[in-house]
Amino acid sequence: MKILVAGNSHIGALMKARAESPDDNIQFLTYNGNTLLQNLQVNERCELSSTRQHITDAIVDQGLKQVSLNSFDYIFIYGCQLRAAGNGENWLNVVISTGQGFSEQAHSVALRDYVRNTAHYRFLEEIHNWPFESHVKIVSMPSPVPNELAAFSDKQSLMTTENADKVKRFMENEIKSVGFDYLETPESLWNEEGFMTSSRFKADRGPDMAHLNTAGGHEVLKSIVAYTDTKSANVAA
Amino acid sequence: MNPYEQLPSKAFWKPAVAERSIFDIEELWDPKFFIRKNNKVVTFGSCFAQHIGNALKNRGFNWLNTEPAPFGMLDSSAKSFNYNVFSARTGNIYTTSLLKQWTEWALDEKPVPKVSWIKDDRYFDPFRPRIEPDGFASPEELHNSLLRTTQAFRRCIEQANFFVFTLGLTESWVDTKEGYEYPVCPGTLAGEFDAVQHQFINQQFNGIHESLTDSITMMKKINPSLRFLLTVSPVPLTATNSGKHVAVATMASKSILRAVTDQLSTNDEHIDYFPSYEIINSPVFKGIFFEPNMRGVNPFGVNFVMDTFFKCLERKFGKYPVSKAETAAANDDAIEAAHCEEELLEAFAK
Repeated sequence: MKILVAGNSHIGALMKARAESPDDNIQFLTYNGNTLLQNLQVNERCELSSTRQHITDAIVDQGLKQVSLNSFDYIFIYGCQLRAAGNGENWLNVVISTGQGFSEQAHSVALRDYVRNTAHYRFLEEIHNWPFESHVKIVSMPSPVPNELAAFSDKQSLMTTENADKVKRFMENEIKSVGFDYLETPESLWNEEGFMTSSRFKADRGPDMAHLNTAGGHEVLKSIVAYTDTKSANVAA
Repeated sequence: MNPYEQLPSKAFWKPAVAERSIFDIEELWDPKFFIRKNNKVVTFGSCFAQHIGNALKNRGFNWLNTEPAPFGMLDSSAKSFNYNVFSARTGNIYTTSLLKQWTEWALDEKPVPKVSWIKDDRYFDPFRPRIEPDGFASPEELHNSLLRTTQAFRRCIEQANFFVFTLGLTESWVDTKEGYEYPVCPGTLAGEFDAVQHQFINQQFNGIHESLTDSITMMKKINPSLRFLLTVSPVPLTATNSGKHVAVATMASKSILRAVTDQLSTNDEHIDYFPSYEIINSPVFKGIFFEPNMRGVNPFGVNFVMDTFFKCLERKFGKYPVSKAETAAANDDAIEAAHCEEELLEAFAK
């Protein structure tokens, strides 16, 4: 089972985890920021290229030059603004907004705008036309939400589990509506209330509240592998 | 020596108008107040008030918005839900009596009514019929939204330094049974018209003056330092129920509103008047600021009005510092079409 995980800086924790537990079946394509996805293109053999030199360099450095995407069974699009934009604060804002008494319709439109305005979603729309073979499954996976130690304590008190769940469900449905599978970040990452990442998984860099540490990377990788195993078992059955 | 010999050139038609290009006519407004960039300004009223809010935002002024859109909503969606149009989500407040009604609700002088109009299983707010593009899911959702807006309107009154209000109409529709006023005639956008319950009132000078004075008095009770800037919408009526020709009704309506604003601004040091109505409508400007239908104000006209607004402030109080971002935004002033329920009356023209 060959898996490619493409995305931005959030992949760093996954790469560290894989370095600790090597797995040749998992490959990464990553570039910091949100320029990766919007600058990717493929040829008729589904080989990646880019008109931007820094992205081309990333493709080469990460061993994906002249590698067909059809050689993978699963391609996970990870992060890229789907939840972590604004250093994670956007996640808090969107959940808080859910509890502020807007009409159902206004709130749905706002959430839809929020999801559709991400590099992640725009990329999913774009790759509909790429020449994937039928065995390749594309899975959308949001980045983890910010850590519970984030200095938004005044905002955290306005969040509720119920509203966070509403937003999670909405994101999932929105992504599925464009025809892609969706994998929520593993439950083990979330804090008790279910709306922030547990402090156990905070990145080692002091003020960084958006990224995971290596332990968190392991959790995400485990969930990716478990997901692909389950899917494949279902297909076999 | 007679008094005319002492007057500045702006007081004489020949040097102030006849001998100038229309684009060089200046000193149309002598502002009473210096609006600092950090002063909180709120804008409400008829459709044209939206342009004032936009221009203030684009030029880096502190346009106060007490009812922002839900987080994540894009500007285009926000506009369709009437967020960021006025300083609270009141929709158009066409008459001074509607302003009084909003003020009474906001300041708990009168209860906020629980009333809705149903159309295709959706619930429409009679006081803001186009506030949600498809109405509300339930009467409760509608009422909660209306309460939320009255609270936001209150915050505008409490927090603002300047309250800009554009007077739009004299013609109004009231519910004789319940005693409240609607911004549009029931049965046009939603609801059902009842000839007994729904009464047309073409308001006259005294009533309009009284409603505006009452509104200002109530607002100043909770914010004594609040200053008012009145304008009259230069946009003609879409339709009139007065029995007169719409052009005649327009002239009557605007003249009455203009007279009210003149009396109030002349006699109250806390109230000023900005002549957007004159800039668009005066024969001096030859109608060039109107769209071909001679009703809508074209973007060039809106920009000219707003440029005049800021130039007059700078002429009196000195230049405002302008950032590059503001310059770019100012160039986009008022390109957006204004939201105006009244325009939908055109659909009933034969």
